[in-house]
Amino acid sequence: MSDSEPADDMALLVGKALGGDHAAWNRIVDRYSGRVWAICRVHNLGQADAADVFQQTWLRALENLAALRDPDRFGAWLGTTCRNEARATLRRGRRTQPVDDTWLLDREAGPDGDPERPVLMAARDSELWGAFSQLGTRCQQVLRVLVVDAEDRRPSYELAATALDMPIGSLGPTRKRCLNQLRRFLTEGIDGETRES
Amino acid sequence: MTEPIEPDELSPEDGPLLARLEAMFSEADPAPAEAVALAKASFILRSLDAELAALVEDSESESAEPAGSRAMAVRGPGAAPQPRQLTFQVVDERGHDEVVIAVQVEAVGARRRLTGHLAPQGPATIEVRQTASAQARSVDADGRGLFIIDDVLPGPMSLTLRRAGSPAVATQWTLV
Repeated sequence: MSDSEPADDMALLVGKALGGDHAAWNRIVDRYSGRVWAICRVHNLGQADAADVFQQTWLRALENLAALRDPDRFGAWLGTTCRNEARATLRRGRRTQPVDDTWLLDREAGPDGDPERPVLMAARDSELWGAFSQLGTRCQQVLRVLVVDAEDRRPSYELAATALDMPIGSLGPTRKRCLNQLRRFLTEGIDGETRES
Repeated sequence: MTEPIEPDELSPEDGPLLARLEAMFSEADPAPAEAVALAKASFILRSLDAELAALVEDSESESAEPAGSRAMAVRGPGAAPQPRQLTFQVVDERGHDEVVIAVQVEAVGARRRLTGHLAPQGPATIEVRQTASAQARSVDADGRGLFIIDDVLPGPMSLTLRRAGSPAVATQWTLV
């Protein structure tokens, strides 16, 4: 799916899905998958647990679809459900063996370059990555969860607020502050030395 | 969500930076394609004809976390873990229990064993659905409403209870 529809169409998509339209359901999944995945990841879930929580969140959404026609409600509900399932999974510690990949955002920049940085990352991204990983946890969470929202140009604050347990009104200002900090890291360089660019 | 939303005070350079972040995440850690495909395919797992039995009790949920020493004891290294207890329930319009499905979840190797009982008692067929396995499997509950389901894969699962003369009941999807 390349286009993204306006929020009003969510009610329509949910209605169609309730009526048995599989394609409408697919579009809903496409539209929110990035955000749901981001919520799994900011809760420090490894790949296998994140995949389970992701599935579980969608199955519960399917179960509750009739009550989720309102787009704001849908986002908030997904955020809450995914967060709760992620926390419950962490608490149970079901998979105690080390996960094959540490959480994306946990990877720290090494002294010379960053061995754990994804290999195929472009240099431009890798600089951004380095700056991003210097941010505090809260900033990383807000930027990760709200940034995916930007895809339909209607940031779903409702989803991010419930997913991160933050007052909805604090998200915008927090994001603003975090972006400023990120920009400072980018322009000053992570070690504080000034770069020409 | 009735709180007013603060207007975004993004500066002109914030937009491109947000776009770069978004591109970085979708490049480096996107939702896995298999997971998205599975979520889409789960549409056919809707229980159209069944009543929903909500998860009303989970021994490992936050609220059910015992405050006392029992929790500490069972979580100690080497101690046999206390099996997880789940209770699913359909409540009728008058607030009475209609159907209760109680399930104990034990880890057996990498799989799960579900040991359950039904209220009211009596024979029934229990079908277990999972996203990880294409085929739903069924077991019979005996005259006392007891049943055992082996080899359940870790991940989301739902049980459907079928009894002659009663509407089907499906439990809420639950991660085991």
